[in-house]
Amino acid sequence: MIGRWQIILLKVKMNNFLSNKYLLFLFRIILGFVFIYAGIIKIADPAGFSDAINNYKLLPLSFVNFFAITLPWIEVVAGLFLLFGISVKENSFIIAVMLVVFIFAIAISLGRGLNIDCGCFGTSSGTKVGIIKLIENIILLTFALLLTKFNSFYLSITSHNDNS
Amino acid sequence: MKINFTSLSSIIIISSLLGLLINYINPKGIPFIKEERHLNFVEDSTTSYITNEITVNNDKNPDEVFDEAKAITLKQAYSLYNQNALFIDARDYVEYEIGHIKNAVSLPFNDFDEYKTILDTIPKTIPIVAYCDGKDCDLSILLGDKLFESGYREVYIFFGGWIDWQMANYPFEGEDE
Repeated sequence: MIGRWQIILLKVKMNNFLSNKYLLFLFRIILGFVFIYAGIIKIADPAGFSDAINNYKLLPLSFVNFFAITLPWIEVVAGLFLLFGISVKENSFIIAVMLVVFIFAIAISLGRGLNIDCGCFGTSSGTKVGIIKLIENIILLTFALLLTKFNSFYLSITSHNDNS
Repeated sequence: MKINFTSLSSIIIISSLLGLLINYINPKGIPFIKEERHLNFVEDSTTSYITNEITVNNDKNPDEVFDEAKAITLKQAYSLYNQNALFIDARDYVEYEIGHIKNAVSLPFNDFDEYKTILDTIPKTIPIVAYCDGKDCDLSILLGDKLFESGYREVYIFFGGWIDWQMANYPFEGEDE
């Protein structure tokens, strides 16, 4: 029985720690900047990003450009909203879904042994898909899920209240 | 507080429309449906290319050789190799160091801007064969297209790449030796 109580106590402590508004704010800023940056770089080179998606060989050719055109804008908009604290839950959820897709894409390519450019931050950065990319994305996904769960109002321009 | 799916969908829809609109007015915009890069193989049927032999013709008019980079088979690649065509390795330098087609030059496509100075030493008229790992990698095509754009008139893409070359046991060099 003591063991069970300890686990519950640990969970409460963990929840308290993870829902710390400064920590969540930090996650929000990191995610926001990463996605704004990633999006802008892709918007600057649509043809390159379209090739990068195509290299994964996961999408039929007719869908490739639709995603190449729209995805970077969703990244930038969601990133900006996170940064300013607008609809944090919704935008972290969008980002979490994108990250899950990226993680699957990278994992499948790794499994298939594809030697391709990641396309994560544009094609000129030359980062290849690999374990490190996978870990990066999983860390970002953790941030996004925590923000979806706990929300973050700290320094938000729509400032509901500062308690959360 | 639950996730508000109405605002979630509006965010996605509005950003997508924004993307489509800006892509439409952007001069660098891309077509809505991606066009496939058709790799045209050098034909074997024409008289000059019979039995997989490609003859490197040194006194041709450079403007009338190719309209794009052309794909070649393993045999054609070997034939070009024997005629001293220049092989260019599009993979990363590390992979090149581990092993590459004999006498090939390294020009990693992913760091093209960094390495492109090497092209200054290669005359535009020389036949060039771009290759990478094998059928799963597009670097040879990307590099081939880029070289063609840079003014090389006779660019071949050896799509079978390093894997096929090694399997055929053709001359190579590197740490594997």
